[in-house]
Amino acid sequence: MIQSDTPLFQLNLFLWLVWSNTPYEISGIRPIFREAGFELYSIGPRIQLTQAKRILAGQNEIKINNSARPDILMHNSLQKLLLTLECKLRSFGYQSSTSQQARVLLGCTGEEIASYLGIKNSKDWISQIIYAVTGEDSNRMSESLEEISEELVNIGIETSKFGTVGVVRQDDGIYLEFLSNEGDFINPQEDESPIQVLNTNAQFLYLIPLDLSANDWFEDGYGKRTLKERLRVSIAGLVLRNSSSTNFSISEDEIMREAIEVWDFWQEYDTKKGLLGLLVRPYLRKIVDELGKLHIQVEIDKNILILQM
Amino acid sequence: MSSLDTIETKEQAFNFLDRYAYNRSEEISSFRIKDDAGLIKSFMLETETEYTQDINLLQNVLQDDNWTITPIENDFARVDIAGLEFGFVEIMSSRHFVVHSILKSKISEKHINNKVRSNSLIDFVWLSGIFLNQVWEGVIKGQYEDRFVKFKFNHIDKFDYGYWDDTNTIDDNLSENDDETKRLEEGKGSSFEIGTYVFKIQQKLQQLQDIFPDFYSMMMLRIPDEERGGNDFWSGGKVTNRSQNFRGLRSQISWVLDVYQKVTEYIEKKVWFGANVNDENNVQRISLTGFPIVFKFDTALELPVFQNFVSQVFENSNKDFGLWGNPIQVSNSRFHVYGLDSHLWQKIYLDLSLEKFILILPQGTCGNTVHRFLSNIQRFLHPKLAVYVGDELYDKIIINALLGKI
Repeated sequence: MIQSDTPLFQLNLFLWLVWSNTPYEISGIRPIFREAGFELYSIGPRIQLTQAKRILAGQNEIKINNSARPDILMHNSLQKLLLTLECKLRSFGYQSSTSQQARVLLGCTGEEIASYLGIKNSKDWISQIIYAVTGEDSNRMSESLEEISEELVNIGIETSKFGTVGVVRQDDGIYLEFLSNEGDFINPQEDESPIQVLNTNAQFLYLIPLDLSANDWFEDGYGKRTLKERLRVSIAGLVLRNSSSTNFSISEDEIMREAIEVWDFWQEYDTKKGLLGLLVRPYLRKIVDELGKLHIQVEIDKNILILQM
Repeated sequence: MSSLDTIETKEQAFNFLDRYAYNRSEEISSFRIKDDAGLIKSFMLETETEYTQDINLLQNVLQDDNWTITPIENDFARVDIAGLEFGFVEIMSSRHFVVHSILKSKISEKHINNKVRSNSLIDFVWLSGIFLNQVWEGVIKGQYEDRFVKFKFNHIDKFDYGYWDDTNTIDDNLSENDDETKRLEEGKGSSFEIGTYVFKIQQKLQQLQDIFPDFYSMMMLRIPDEERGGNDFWSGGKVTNRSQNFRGLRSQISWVLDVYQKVTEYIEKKVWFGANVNDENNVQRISLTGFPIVFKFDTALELPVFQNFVSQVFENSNKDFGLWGNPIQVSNSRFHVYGLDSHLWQKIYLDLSLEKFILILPQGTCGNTVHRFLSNIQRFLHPKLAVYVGDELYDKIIINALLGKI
């Protein structure tokens, strides 16, 4: 099973690069962002354009969203640097709908993001935004970002520094190729590019098996398999931990919380509901059938499994 | 057989066991040991904190059709198993208890094994080869130079292709039998015993390990008593008393458990993987906690051995490892497991390859899993490896705990 090029793959790759602290020669994964002093600030945080900038964009008939949720926000407290990372896989054009989200991310300065998030001494903070795409899309992505940035600057909106990172596959692993605006500091390892971050092309473990914001949840075969395994194991764990009781109930939320550590904190309630209906419930029914074969009676009532051992 | 039911206090029990230890020691010295008399064995076991608050709570966990627990004090009770006077059980810390037995290993180990393997709330204390090696390096070498020390090293190639056969399992008790010598079958592994003075072996053991990695699979280490003899600490948590007193044995157990618990809790605190949410300033901030644990082998595993390991440990739920899962094959030589630990039925995530195993321990999964996984890897799969808890060597954490730095 070779890694799929999907936003979920990219999300997990970049999470590993800031989450892990094990040396590269030991783990085979080089946590370049942590090595450069970054820590994970938040997954999918909401970032909002200032009111003044929104009015300015509106007056100039520029299509722009009010807020955006980039995939990852890291911070480097020594450099007072907020690094926003958006996993896009493919580049998008200046006119595309995705560019409306990009205008928010580019249009927020470090001070504005820090101020919105309530970070102390917000004036001291600078920001950078990096778009992650596959290696061959890096240049096109960079051009689009240049255009969007120029458009914002032309109407008087100060922008963040920006760049792209191309995820490149070689025979011996995964490399990252940073491409930034002249003078902008994007690459956490400065002069070294491309940087090898994985010493194999084999699939790595997913920390989060699902990207709620992705358009197609089933695009990533490994992610789908992982989610199913996690659901199976979560139910088994919940049942076995309760095995001294003759009857007990497990809610869907308990199962999802076990399977996906961040489940409770995702606020996209409609998307979560859709996911449950499309993927989780059909699979749960299969597991319930399996439990029945083990003489465990299961009833499903309002998204709660009631089990009798 | 003694009559343990006349004992009414913990102190009386200690007096009895002290006398018992002295008598056995005298009998051994004069070659008069009785056939039915065992040395004192203490089995160090782990459970959840909620059951160690009081002996009555622990009684609920242990008592069954065979086991009868009769409380003596709020942290101490008598144990009878299937009509046999087995010994005593004592709560030693917020997550450990110890069963002291005067029966021979053959009987006592069988009962303890059955209890642990049939009850997911209990696990052995797992003193890995690395753990015992650090006790040797960090404490015994420096403090007991003129004393006698004893080691047992045992590595079994349990996953060699074609080796596995359930009808032909090797002795998989907590330790080798104390009271008998069981011969290893040819070609299945190696077993060594060294008994000598500390000053004679202190420079040599490292050389032996460098030449032959199986010496890293330390399965037993005798910690000298403050007076005479010592106590044999086995990797599966059994301690055999070979001194002249019980109170010295108990004191060593208390110290080892304290170090073990500190290491376990340090690992849990550092690596537990989960979501962390901060709602300050009305802005939700979701972050990830923890770090990976990496088991890095000094040389890559052979592919058939690795494949056999994955199949036996996860699909067939090998009882030593106590793990369960459905391996996902991601390449010819790499598997992922999103599985369960049969102790407490908590989750584990594993990335298994020929060169290394990466373990992610989700929040709530007992840190004992790390010790068990490592102990069994060293004994049955590969004796020499480095374990990184995030960016820190497992060896270093043990040394820090031994030196009171954590």
